[in-house]
Amino acid sequence: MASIRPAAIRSRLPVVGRSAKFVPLLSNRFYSKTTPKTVAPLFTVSRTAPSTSLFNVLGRRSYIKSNEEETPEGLRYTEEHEWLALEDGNLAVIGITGYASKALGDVVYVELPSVGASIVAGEPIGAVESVKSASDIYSPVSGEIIEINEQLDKKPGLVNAEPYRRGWICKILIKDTTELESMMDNHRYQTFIASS
Amino acid sequence: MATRRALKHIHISPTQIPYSTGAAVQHVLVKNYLDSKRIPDIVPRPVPTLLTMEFLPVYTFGRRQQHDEESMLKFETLKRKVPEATSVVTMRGGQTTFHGPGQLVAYPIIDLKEFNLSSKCYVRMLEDTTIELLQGFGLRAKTTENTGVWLSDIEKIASVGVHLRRHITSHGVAINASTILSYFDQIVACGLPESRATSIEQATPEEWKRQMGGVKNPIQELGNRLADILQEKLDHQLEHGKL
Repeated sequence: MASIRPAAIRSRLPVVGRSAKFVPLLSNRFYSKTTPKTVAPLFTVSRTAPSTSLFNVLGRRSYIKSNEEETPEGLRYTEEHEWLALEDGNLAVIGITGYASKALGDVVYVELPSVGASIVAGEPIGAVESVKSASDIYSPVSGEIIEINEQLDKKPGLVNAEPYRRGWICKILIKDTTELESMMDNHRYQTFIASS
Repeated sequence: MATRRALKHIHISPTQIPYSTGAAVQHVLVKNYLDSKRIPDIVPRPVPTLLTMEFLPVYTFGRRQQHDEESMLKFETLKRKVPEATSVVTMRGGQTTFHGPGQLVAYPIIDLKEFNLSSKCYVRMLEDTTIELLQGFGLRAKTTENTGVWLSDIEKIASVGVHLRRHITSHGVAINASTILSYFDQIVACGLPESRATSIEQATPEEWKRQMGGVKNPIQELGNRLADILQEKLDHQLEHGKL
């Protein structure tokens, strides 16, 4: 494999979020749009992909510690600062954004919904608690909760540390994908939080 | 002209009320806010409101405690040991606390987005408001690594716990003015066995008597003062604040 100078790779990387600095490579999709397939990623982390399919959604590519203000491409966002990643057509993974978890402070408890519960878009599905406050989480879509992130029971801090990875909250089997159309993409969300 | 968004202050009078009454009033105000967000063409934006009140004896539990066996055991024990007090699980953050006569309970119902406040900064604002209120009695209160407002490392004078729904706040702060402090013996504040509750009256009995001795409803008067301080802080936030 030809060696590539770091500067050459950096110049081809897309800008994610507000920062134009080097950003984590999160998605197979957007990486391949802007970078020739022959170029190896600058940082590659060898690991076994976890059994949850979240990495299938966000890519098995390298992931450097996220800046909570930078939001991944390819996800959808709400004004209540929830993110949604869609996989396999109608399975939605939900979490709260780094912006939200930073505004809340250290998360000490996550109240998760029940598996099997039927959810209507806009309904509260749980809450994220800091030491002194509890903030409701709302589902952006209707459907059925088919999995919850039980890691958050012992490690609620994952919501702060890895809001888009191991800090995911639940997975919903969506009934109506048209509900996704009203959600924001990354650029609109960045504009939204910049103006608030 | 300075930016100002009027803070309406409602003190639920005449004197002590059951917890359920205060919770019901709070619920109506929050629902009004949520409806105005959902259907803004039909429900106009409400005015930010500070609810103050004085409860009959009640132990309240935070949201996460309903999932904790030890806390729920405590819930049952309190009902038995302190029969004149009710016990309620609430949706706020934080853990077990007591509300009762002689304690100012202040629940601001505001939209944090309107004031460009994060939940962390809002809680800090509530704590600072409490500290400033206590300064009026010559008390130097502070926050520590533990929740609430303290007069020393082991004397807690106010508790804080907030619930947020779509950035609308509910619950808030409870400040011991002339509360019967033995009610707190039943609960361990913040898991610190050596800590104890205190009140304005206990910390500075002469000053409390001097300022509130002739006042018909001291808790309402305290609520008025807190409203003024909070109004000033919110105005300042509107003018200068950003996340």
